[in-house]
Amino acid sequence: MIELVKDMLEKQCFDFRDAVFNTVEAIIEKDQNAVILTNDMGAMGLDKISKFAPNRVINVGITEQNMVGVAAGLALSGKTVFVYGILSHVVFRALEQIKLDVCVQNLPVIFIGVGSGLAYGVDGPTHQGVEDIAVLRALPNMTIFNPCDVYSASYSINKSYEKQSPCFIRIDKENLPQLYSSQDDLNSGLLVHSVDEGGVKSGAIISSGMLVWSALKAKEILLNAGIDCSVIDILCIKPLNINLLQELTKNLAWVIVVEEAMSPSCLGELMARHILIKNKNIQQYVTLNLGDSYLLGSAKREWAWEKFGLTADAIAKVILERPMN
Amino acid sequence: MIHLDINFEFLNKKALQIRRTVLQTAIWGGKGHIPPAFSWADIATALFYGNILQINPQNPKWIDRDRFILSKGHACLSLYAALSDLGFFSREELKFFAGNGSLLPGHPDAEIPGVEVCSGSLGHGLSVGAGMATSAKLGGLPWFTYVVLGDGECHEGSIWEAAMYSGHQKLGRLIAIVDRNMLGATDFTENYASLGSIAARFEAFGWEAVEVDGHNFHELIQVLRESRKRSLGERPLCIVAKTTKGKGVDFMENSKYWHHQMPKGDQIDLAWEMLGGVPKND
Repeated sequence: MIELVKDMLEKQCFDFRDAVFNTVEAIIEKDQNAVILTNDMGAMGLDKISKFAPNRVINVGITEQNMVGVAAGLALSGKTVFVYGILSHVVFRALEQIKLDVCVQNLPVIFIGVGSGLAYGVDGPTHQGVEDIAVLRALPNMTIFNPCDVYSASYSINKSYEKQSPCFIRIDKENLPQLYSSQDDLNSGLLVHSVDEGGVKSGAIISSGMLVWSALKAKEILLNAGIDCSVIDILCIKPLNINLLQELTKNLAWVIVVEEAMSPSCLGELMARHILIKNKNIQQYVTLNLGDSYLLGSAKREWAWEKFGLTADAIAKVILERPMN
Repeated sequence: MIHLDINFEFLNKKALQIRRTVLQTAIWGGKGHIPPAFSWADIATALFYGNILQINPQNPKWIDRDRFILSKGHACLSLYAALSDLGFFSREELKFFAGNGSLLPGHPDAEIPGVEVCSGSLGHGLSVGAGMATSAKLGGLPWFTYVVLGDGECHEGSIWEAAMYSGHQKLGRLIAIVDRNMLGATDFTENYASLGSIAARFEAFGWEAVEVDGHNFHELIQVLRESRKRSLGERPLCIVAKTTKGKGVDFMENSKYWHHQMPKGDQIDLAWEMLGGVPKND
């Protein structure tokens, strides 16, 4: 079982985009039919790939609809296509192309959307990636990965390439330590963090993406207060490993789902559908998210976590202030 | 591969056959966009029966086939007429057009043999075609990509994103054919969002553009034969085909009231009369 990460800031940190593009680079190097498109978004990793495969890194300009259509045409002609851009722009500007050109025909187009959640919070609602899960989840054939560290981000790229079907990988732009390693099996799509694998837990904090780190800290706070719980990291949002989720939560007294998403789009509702049908004795089911209104103005991630009760302290407080039987 | 004689009598016969099948299929289905289908029926005839498109009904996914996209998917009745006649699927399927569980919906999808993509939400086809042409260029592959667009469709911003991309990339074997009938769904294009010279617009984005009479087989075949000589690295080609929406049935022709409405009563008899008479064994 994965050990709790302590003293995060003292560990070596890695950039998500470097991890992602190193993995893409390895694929493009070995597969002559792999192509990457970008809507004029730069990345150092992309420049590296351009040097040895200049024809297969295509900057289509700021034309998201065209980019996704071109990706579909390439995929229909034998290519595996990576599409790189700011998450919210690609999803919402080109949603119909993602649906009709890519998903209906189940094509091997792998979207790498940078700016999940509030990664670009200070840039306002134009750049926040807080509603996309709701719409992407509605598309048949689509797989959604939401990695919280560089290892799982790299895994998501490789897994998507292996699947050869539409995949959306939401990535952050933080520098973070590595949480997972080759010793962890990520194939279940749900990663469980527990101090004592065999012990009885009273509850679980479920999260995905960057807030997994907050959840892990909350778990430590609760442990210090004598409450043992699990953190469940949803790496693969779609398809969701429902059986494992239900197995992990069926006897719990409480579940908190915490995420950087608008409430109508949130995983909290999705999880509830599967968890509550199997667990009739649950005492608390709490969803913590960004509510149902646009975050106008600048919203730095840490500030927003305080405002919406998504910090480790706030998550732990939910349980500490409302003790269960 | 299809090798058909190119003679004008044959093409005229096939064009009439397409229009008759369009009308019959719409009557069977109780719906359909007849005038938009008539508008490009001669373009379809030239492409499918003029030995232009290199395709194989026995092997619709033949790897070296030309790629054809009808981006103005609502005009699919002419496409269905040609594909069924060529043997991509049975003519019997036409009887179930737009019926429950039918192979043939009101807008084409990629499950239909001979159809590459879903189309009918406008503005998608040129980008997808550009992607196909990019793939051909990257691999030095022999096939061409033809995309038929509506002129009303050219109001979509995504068309011009694709035009800009394809011009810059010099996708020489990408050929866009614009069905320039001057009508959108409810009015003449110049009355609500003027398109002016579509050829000039494509030229401004780095394309070569020519204008032809979209009902004249001499002009259509000539320009399409020339298109086969294009190399991978030159400018893409836009053929602006001047057409008449509803061509072949005079009360539908060039009318802003005829887009997807169905002929009724005497109108049906009149339409058959203009298309060579009521079918006996169609």
